[in-house]
Amino acid sequence: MSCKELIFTCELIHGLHARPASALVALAKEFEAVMELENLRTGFKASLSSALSLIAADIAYRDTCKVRVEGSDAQIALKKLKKFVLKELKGFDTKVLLDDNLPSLPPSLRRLNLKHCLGHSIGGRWVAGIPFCLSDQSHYSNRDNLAYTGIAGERMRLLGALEQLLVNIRKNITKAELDTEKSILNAHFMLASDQEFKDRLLNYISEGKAAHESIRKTLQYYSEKLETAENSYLRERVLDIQDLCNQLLQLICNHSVERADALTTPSICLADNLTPSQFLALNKKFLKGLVLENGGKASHTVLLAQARGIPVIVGVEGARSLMEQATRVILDAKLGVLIADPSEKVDRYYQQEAERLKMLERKYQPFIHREAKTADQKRLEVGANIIGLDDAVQAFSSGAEGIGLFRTEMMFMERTQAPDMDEQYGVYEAVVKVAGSRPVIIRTIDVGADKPVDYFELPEEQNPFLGFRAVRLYSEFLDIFKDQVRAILKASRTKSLGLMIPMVTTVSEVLWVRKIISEVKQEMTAEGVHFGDVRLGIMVEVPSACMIIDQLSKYVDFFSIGSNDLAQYVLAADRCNDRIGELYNYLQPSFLRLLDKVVKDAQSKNKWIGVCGEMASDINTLPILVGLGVDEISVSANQISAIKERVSHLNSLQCRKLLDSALDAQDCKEVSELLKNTYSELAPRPLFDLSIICIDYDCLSREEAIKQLVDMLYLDSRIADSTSIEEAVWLREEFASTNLGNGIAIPHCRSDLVYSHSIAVLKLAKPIQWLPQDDSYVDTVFILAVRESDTPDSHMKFFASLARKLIENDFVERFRQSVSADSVNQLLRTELKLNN
Amino acid sequence: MKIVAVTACPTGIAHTYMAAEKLIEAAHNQGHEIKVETQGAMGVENQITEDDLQGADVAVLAVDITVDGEERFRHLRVIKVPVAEAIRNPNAVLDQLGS
Repeated sequence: MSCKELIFTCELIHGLHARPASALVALAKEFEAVMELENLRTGFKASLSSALSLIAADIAYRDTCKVRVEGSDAQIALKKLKKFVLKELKGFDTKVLLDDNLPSLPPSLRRLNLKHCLGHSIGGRWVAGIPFCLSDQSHYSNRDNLAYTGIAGERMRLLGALEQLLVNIRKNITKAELDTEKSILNAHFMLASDQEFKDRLLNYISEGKAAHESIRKTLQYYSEKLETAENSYLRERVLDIQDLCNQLLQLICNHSVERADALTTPSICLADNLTPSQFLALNKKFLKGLVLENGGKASHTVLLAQARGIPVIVGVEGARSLMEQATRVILDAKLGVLIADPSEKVDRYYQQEAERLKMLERKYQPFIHREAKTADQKRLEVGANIIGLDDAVQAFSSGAEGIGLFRTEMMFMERTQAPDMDEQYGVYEAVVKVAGSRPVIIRTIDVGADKPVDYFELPEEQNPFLGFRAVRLYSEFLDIFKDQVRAILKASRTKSLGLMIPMVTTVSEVLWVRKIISEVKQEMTAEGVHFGDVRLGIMVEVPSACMIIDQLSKYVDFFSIGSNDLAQYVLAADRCNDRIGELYNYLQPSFLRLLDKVVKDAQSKNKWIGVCGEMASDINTLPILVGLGVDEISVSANQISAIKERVSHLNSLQCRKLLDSALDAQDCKEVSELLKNTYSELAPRPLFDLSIICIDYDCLSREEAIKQLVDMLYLDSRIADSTSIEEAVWLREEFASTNLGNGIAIPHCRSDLVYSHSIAVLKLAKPIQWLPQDDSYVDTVFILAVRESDTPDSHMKFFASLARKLIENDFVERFRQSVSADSVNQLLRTELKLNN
Repeated sequence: MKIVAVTACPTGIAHTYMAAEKLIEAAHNQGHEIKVETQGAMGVENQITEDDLQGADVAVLAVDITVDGEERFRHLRVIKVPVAEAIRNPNAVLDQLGS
């Protein structure tokens, strides 16, 4: 008979609700042991044999719970239970998290008595500033009491306004500074010139409505129709229609397009929602941040703000009253939080964050313009995925070694007709120029029923992913395809470009493309147009292509694995379908086996092979990609230096061994376990060294000290994630204070997110109170981060020896006299009998 | 007196070993004999044997979690304290033994 206990924190945003409770009950049923849970916050107790009692225990987000397991099989039951609460419990939130992306604040910020509200995080920086509430956008549309001029008169009025609107938009397109701005204005142009839109407006006029009424009616019609759409992307197009209708109303009433409230000082602005034009009209010089109470994440306004690097948060309930009362606010777009009148402690938290980012930048800086190589000098090109020139510029300044994937379809979307040869050539040529000697791979348009482009007029399909898309529609839209090939050939004059075909399924498709390329070349020769040569490549994203790499190799120069589609097709799992989300995972051994075959087949024919798609950008799967031995990975620009840094720690042979084990694994969970477990072996760190000893640190609180120590561990690549480790440390702190009473505190944790056992040391410039009720002050903080594993290893004894030392008076005295990082390092080394 | 003791804390990294150290120090100062079993991240160390149990007068459990083999001490007087107590006031813990 044995009895075990487990303490955990409930990470479910909506608390322990019915589904996870039932799962816990199902788990408990497998064992004889009796399991009892206690919610340490409320003191409620529940039995794991009843889902209802678990729900009644009122376990809310971040409540700490204790489970007591008693019975002959308690040991295994506990292990299983632990695995469940650590790994699977959170999964019950997946849908909520994907839909809402509710932020969770790190404890070092959360604990600071914030006046705040949460919105949806979109990613990006934080910014502090003076709050400014923009006035309600609808007020100017109420001032239009124009006299009715009869059907013909109103018709004239409306058509005149519509024409003027198109002129205005076109003018704005030429003035636009950024690609994003241009493309959104193009989309507006397309909407404004839409025949159905016009017909609807005119219909209301024929019914005897005034022009302004027709516009309102039309807006109402589209709003109702789109607002009930399942697809959030469509829902957010309402804002664009509203934008156009507002502008039409203004034109009819002869109001100026300027907003009433022009910004005059640097401000963080709040609005219920903003249309793209209203956003463009704001003075960007003073717009430091944007809070939208009701906006959606995919709205064009958000895209515009992001393109300008302006932090935004959306869907922030209660933001207005918070902003109206505050004299200063902090908007953190990464965490999705708006903090009013931040205290000194909050400001210090952000100073710490700034320092952390600076250090992180310093860590990655040397890798930006360095070739990516493993520790054993194996090359892995790190290229970038781009959608246009702006991206290319950013990618190269972030250290891209080439463009691995130029998604050209973005140039074709949200407009009324395909860009012609000259327009495309202009863009490709500009990208080539930025690239200099670095390679560029341009993927020809990948559109279809899943990525609709209006002027292709493709009918809806039952299975768009298995239907008429990408290379399959080139023969029907031959002129568009030929234009693109021609533009790429022309842009290759100065340098050979890669031309990559998406969705290749058979050899005959490649032969057809080759025939078209040579036709285009003949035409260009006949016309006397100069062109260069292209390297022909294909996306490997259809399983059938994987089986004929040897045959395809006769006709293509290179391959690039499109992991997103390929994984969907191989696993027969739609990655957007939550109910089968578990299946869609590029770490599934079956998928990895296929990749291994593809890479081996391509390399046996001496063909270059890369990987684009999400898998390549996932820094945690790097060891797998290095193990596969691909020539290149193409990733998003902001990942490049971090990936290069990580590659430099990996050993290609060890990665291959890891891959071999992954190929034999049962499922993707086992593979991700393997990845976690082997990372510490792939990039080992000593128990401590100078990089995690910090002397004379200016610190005012326990929160700051713990954050600093965890940041030090993160910066030295010793832990996978700062916030999770902080949570684990605080969980322990809340159980009982770790102040030893002799000036030393030892916050600690055990977690599988710790890559290497670590002891970090922080000596404070001034002693602090660890807990408000403490009478003894703390001037030295050790963090002990232990790697959780099933079998305790030999390094564990050092933690025990350190613990014993820390209560020996003469050790503490000698430690106190060590005033430099070097002497601390030396003392610990000697006392713990660590070699070298 | 002959004392058998067990120390164990939730993470088993530090406090388990500190409490052991403190109890040994205090016991020696007070003239007691003591053997401390630690149940930490490295598993059970310095395990209390059948012989230890036979010869013991009292058991001290400085623990924050349920420990393995608590029933071993059924025949003894058991003093149970939180780990922190054993670290901060080991003498006070031993004072509870009486004489």
